[in-house]
Amino acid sequence: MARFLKKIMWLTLALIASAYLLDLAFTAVFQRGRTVKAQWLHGMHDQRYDVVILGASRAWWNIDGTSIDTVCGVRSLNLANNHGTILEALHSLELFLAQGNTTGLALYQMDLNRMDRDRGMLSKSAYDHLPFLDDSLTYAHLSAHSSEWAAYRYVPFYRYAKFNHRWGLEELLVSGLGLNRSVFDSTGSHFRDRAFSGPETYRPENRHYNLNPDVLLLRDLCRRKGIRLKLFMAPYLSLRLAPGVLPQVKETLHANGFEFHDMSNRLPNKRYFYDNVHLNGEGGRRFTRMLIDEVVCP
Amino acid sequence: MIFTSLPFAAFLVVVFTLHWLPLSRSKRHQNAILLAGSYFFYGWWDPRFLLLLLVSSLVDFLVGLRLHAAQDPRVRNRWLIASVVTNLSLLGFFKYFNFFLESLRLALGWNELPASLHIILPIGISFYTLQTLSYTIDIHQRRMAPTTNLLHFLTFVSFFPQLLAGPIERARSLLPQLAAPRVFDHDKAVEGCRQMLYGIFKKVVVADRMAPYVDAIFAQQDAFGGGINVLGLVLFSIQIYCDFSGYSDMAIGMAKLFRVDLMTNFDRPYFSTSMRELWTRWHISLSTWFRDYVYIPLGGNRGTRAQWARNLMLTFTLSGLWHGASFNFIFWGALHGAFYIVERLTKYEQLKWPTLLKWSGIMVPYLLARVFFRAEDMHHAWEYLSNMFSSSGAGLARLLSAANTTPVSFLATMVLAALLFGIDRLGMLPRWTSLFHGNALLRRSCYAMLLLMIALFGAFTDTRAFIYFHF
Repeated sequence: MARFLKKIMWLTLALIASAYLLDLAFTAVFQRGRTVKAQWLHGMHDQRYDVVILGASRAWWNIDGTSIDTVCGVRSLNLANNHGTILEALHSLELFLAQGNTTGLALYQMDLNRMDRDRGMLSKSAYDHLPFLDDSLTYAHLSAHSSEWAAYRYVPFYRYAKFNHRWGLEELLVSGLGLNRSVFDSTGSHFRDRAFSGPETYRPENRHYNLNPDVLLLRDLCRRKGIRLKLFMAPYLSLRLAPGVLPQVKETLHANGFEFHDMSNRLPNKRYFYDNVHLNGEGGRRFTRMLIDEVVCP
Repeated sequence: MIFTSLPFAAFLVVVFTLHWLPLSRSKRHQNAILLAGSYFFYGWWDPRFLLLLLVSSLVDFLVGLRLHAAQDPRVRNRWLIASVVTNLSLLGFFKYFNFFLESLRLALGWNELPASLHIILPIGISFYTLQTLSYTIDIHQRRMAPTTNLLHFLTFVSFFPQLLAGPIERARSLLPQLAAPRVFDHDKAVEGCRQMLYGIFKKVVVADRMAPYVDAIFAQQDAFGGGINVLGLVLFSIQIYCDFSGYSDMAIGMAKLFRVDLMTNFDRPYFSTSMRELWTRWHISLSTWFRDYVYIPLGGNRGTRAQWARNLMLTFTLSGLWHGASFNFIFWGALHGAFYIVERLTKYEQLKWPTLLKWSGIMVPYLLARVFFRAEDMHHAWEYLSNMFSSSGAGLARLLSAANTTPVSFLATMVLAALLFGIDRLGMLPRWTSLFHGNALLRRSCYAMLLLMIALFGAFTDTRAFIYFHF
C-alpha cells in the first residue's frame, strides 16, 4: 500500500508542477493575443474615446463604428459581446476606465429580455477573461458570482483544461504566432452578412417589465465618472408586443433617470436582417445612420 | 456524479481510503464501506431509486435462499418465476410502460392515449436487473449455492463501479470475490489506474469530442449532403465505442483498486472480420448474458436450422428491446439477428477474402444498422438512410458551424480518434505489447502523453453522461 501511495504522491506532485508551468506559459501567450474583445480590452491603456458602445450581439453586429467616427468626427469603441449581460457591460466599462482610458458618452443597447431577467448573471462571454484572472478588478467581478472562479485562478491549468475548446492549443498557436483571428474591426464592430433564417416575428413576453437593478449600477458608474449614458433599443424585424408594453418600459427607464431611445420598429424589412433580431450589413449601415442622427451626434 | 467529474474523484478517494484503512481490513468492514459508498453513489443520482434497488436486491436474496432450500421442482420453478416476475415487472413498468401504451394506441388506431404516466427511468435498472436475475437463475439451475450473507449480496448488486452500466457480472464470479478477505495488491491497483486513465482518454478526448458533430448531423440530417450523413454514422460508431468501452475501462480499473476483477466488456470489436466475432468482442457481458440465459435455454443451435434461426432472431430482438423501449431498437436487434444468420448460411467466416475486404463486408451493414440505434424513431432512421444517398446539401463548413467548432478542432478530433484505434491495433500485436511492458521510460512517457492529451483535448465543459446510462 505504501508503495502505491508513494507512486500516487509522486504522480500528483509531477502533475501539479507540470500544470503550473503550462499555466504560466499559456497565460503569457494568451494575454498577448487579440482574438476576443477581452484580450483587446485588457491591453488597452490611456486611450481617449468619445463614444463607447456596450451591450450584447445586437450592439456588436448591428452598428458601424467607422461611420460613427467619420460622420460625427469622433473616436468610437464597441465593447459589446455576444450574449453579454448588463453586469458584463459594467465590468467592461469599469476595466476600460481603470486602465486610464476615457470616454464622454456610453451607449447601452437595451434588450427587452435584459430589462428584468439575467439579474446578477454572467454569460459565456465572461470566460473570455480566463487568462486575466490575475487582474484584481476582473477577478473581484467574476468571483463574486461563483466559487468556480477561485478554482480557475488558483488551481494551475484547470481553466485552460476545462475550456480547452476556447483557450486550448489552437488558440495558443494563434495568439503565440500573432495571427489576428478577431471578428471585429478597429472600432470593435462587425457585420454578419448571411442568408435570412428562422422565424420573422419576435415575440417577447407581454407583461409588465420591472427594472433590472444591474442597469442602475451602470447608471451610477457613469454618473460618478461624468459619462453621459444613453440607452437605445435596436430594430427588430417584426416585434409582437401588446400595445401598452413598450410605453411601460420607456416609462420605467425614464422614471429611473435614463435617456432611452426606442428604435425597435425602425427597419421593418426582411432585406435588412439575417434573423428576426439581428441586422445584416445593409441593415446595420442604415441603422447606424439613424443612431448617429438621433443619438450619437444629433 | 459521472466518473469523469471532480465530485466523483473526491468520492473515489474517500471510499478507497476508508476501504483500505487498517481499521477496516476485515471483509465485513470492507463490504460495509463498499455498500455504503455504492448506495451513496446511486442516491446521488436520485435517492428515490435507492428503494427500488433495495427491493430488487432483497427479493432476489430471499428467493435465492428459498430456491436452494426447496427440493420439489415445482416449488423451485415457482420461486424462480417470483424472481423473474418481480424483476421484469419493475423493469417493464419503469422502462417499457409508456412504450406498451404507445404501441397499444397505434394498434387500436387511437389518436391519443386516454392516460399516460410521466415515468423516469431509474438509472442502471436494465443492468442490475439482469445481474440479479442471473443469480436466481443460476441457483435454480444448481450452478451455484446462494449466499447467506445479506451484506455480500447487497454489495454484489450495487457495487458502484459497475452499477450503472455494467459490465453485467455473474454472481458466480463477483460474489466469491466479495466474500473473500481482500488484501491490497499494488500491481493490480497500478493496473487499475492505467485502465482508468485509458478509459478517461476514450471518453473525454474521443467520444465527447465526437458528440457535437454527431448531434448536429442527426438533428438536421436533411440539411446535409450524403457524404456528411455517412460521416455522421461513422463518427457515431466511434463515439459509442469510445463512450461505452471507456466507461467499461474505468469501471474495471476502479474495481481493481478494491481488488475486484470484473469481466472484460470490449475487446477491440471494430477489428472483427465477422459478425460472430464482433458480437464476441462488443459488450461481452451482455452478449454472453443473452447467450447463457436466453439463447441456450431456447434451444441454442440444437434442433433444425429453422429452430436455430428462430432462437437467434428472438435473442437478438430481445437484446434490441433491452437497449431501448422503441421500435428502432427492436429493429436494430432483429437486423443483427438477420446479419448473423446470413453470415452463417453463406459461410462468410470461411471465405478466403483479403482481411480488409472481409472487414468492409461486415462494417458496412453494421454501420447502416447503427442508424436505427441512434435515430429518434423509425421515421427518423429511414429519413437518415435516404439522406445518405443524397447528392445535394450542405458540406463540412456547415457542419463545423452547426457544431460550433473550427476546422483545426475537427482535424484534431479525427487525428485523436485515429490515434486511439492505432493504440488499439498495436495492442493486438504481441511485439508491441512486450516492448511497452518491458520499458518503464516508454511506458511512463505514454502515460504522460495520455494525461497531456486529456488536459489539452478533453471535452470538459460539455461533459455528457455515458450513452448507455439511457438504457
